[in-house]
Amino acid sequence: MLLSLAWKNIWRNKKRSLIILIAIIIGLWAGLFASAVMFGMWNSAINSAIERDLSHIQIHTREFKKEKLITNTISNPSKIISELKNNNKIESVAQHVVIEGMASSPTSSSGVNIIGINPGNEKDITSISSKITEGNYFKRKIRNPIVVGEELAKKLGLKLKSKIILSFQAPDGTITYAACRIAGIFKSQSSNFDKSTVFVRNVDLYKILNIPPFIHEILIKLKNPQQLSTVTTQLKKEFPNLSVQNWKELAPELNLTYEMLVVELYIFLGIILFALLFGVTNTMLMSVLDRIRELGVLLAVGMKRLRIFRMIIYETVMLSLFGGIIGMIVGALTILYFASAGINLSIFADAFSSFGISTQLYPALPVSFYPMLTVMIIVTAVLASIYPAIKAIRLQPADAIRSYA
Amino acid sequence: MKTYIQLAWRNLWRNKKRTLIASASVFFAVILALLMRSMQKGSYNYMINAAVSTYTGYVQVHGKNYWDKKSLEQSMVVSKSKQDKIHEIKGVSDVVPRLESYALVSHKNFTKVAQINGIDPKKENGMTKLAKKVTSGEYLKANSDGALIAQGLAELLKVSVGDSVVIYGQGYHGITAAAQVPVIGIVKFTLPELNKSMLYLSLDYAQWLFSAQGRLTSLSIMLNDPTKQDAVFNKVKTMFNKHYEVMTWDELLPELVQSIESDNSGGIIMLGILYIVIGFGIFGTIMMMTAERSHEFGILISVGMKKWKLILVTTIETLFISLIGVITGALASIPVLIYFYHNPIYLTGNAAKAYLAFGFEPILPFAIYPGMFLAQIWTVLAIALFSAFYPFSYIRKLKTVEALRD
Repeated sequence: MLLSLAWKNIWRNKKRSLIILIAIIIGLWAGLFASAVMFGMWNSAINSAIERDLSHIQIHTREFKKEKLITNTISNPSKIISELKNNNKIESVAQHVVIEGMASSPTSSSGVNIIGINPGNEKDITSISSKITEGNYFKRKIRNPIVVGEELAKKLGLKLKSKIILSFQAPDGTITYAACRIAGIFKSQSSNFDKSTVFVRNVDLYKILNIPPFIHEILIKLKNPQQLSTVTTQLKKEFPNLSVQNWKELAPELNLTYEMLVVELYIFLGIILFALLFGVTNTMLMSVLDRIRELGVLLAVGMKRLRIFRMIIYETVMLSLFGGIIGMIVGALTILYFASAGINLSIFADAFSSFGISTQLYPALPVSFYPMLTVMIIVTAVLASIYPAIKAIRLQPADAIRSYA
Repeated sequence: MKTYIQLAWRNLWRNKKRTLIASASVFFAVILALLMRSMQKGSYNYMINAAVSTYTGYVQVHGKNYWDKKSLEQSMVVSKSKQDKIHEIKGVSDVVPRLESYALVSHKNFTKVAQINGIDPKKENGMTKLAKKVTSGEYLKANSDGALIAQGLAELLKVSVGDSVVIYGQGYHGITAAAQVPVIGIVKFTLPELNKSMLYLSLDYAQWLFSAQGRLTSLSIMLNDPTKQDAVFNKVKTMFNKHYEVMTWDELLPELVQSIESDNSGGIIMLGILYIVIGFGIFGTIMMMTAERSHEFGILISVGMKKWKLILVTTIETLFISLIGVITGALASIPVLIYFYHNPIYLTGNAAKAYLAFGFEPILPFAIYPGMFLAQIWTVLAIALFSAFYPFSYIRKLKTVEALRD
């Protein structure tokens, strides 16, 4: 009864209600969309880092995490690999040799991470094979092929098929040199990664060092990324002597930035609602002042003050929530549309590639934002209604009836 | 004109609360906007200052193409007297010569890649305060043949002060560079990347090691007054011929510049959204003020008031509402901003860790500059003028007879 009365009251002055409704709708729509764009950026940064080098879960020896030495190898890897492959939550597995070394050209040298891979199954896990700008990904048969980042090639002054010398420490402590030929040049979204990472084949490394196969790192890609924490704990139990880490543990700063972003976006939406609060208060105050006489009559015929108070609060909440829900629906639809169509950011490519963000942006917002935002809207509406509602119940019926304002 | 202003002012206070609520929305928006801008600008200034004073300096001189290739082949010779001449330019506080390259560094069975920096210990410390970062052992001396090694790198190599490391790499013209060097000190950096890779030698020793006698890879110029950057840059540029390159910090750190630009545009979009919401609030208020006064407008027009005069009065009212908000907001924010400018917020917990991981101190610095106040004032005035369109068209279309009957 009180609710339907409140709803009808809202529409008695259409123009006034519409203005504030439009303000709420535009505020929420723009706020949600801007949040989704920022969220999408970090999603994209995280996904490209996962696809580029982090993958979902990595396994190393505990010593490797501390020392990163060539001797910190995983013992009996084939047994671990077959166990992992039997796990139905895991999509694919790759084995890496990871060596810190120097890459030198006749004119310059630079510190690099040498990653030894098996090109066949590497493609299932990391995205580098699809980021080749020149040459190819270990397709042609040349001696000791190497795939390097564009930044590194530029720095060392090297082109496709140029010779590059890798130097690193062999397991026996001596310095080993390997002459490789550039088979492919890649460009990922991270210029830092491109400057400091080179890929060679595992088998070539074993031949250069003249020792039996060994690996330092196992990368795991999950079928369903949502199961990240359950699979991580499961594997930690399964391999208690090894270091099992998911990307959140491997790149804590990435995860932390993501969590900070959520807080920042809530603050941003809070500020928008705070600004709307004044508009809503003003509208409702106006609406109460317009109805002084009518409210006086209601009081005079015996309507309880508490009910009038509640009616004003209902009006405010319904008005705000109505606008809020439309704003959220329009916002969600816009986000959905662009989530599939994407926004082209190639004009800012330089700026974003330094953060590892791809140039095609897909806005996204966690579903939990919507219920949380609904609660925030209701709280805002109640806060906005208190002053006009108090104003309404302070009326003296006898005076109010005589008012012609 | 005075009469109209007076009339508008009095009209405003006929309904005090409504005026105050509308002004309050502008007031808070201006404060929030100023806080946000101040924090953004503050963090940019901080990032630039950190990058410039710990590494690049405001202006750098290299051999041609060095910055692209970072190779000893692009190293250069700059005489002592020329360096002194640069130092004499007004605004220059330090001129810091360096010779940098990468090499393998070994200790016992451990080998790591390190960035080898040949430095003039005194000048380097004048700019980057490197001596303060020494945690054990002692700082380099001018002709020292010892090495200063970053704490993370020392841990990986398992060396401590008194041990020796072997440096092994490629010198000038591809000549092998190899030497055994005693570690005389450990320095600690907050940025993990630096902490795991830096090794410092005295400039003379590094030049000998890399067979690059008398050569430098870069000359960093630090200013005591950053506003003199352009003047110093132009002067330095005339001192070097085409075999050299002279660059400013924004050319040296394009990624920093771009990340600041993209973050800045994100902030401006957020402010835009905030002001759209505020704009609707003001527009709504003005609309209601206009609508409920149609009877009064009718009377005024019928007794001979010109419509354009009425429009002028209502426009002035709109401007007043906005100006009250924007001026009080700006005034109220000044003490807050000044407080935070001198006492930046220190972050704790996870947020602090994220900052440290990116190599920044976990603080939220603030900046104050006159332009930020002007920007808010212009924006609010634009909103006010836009809102004034409503009474403008309302009064223009007003039918006097109908209005009188309202």
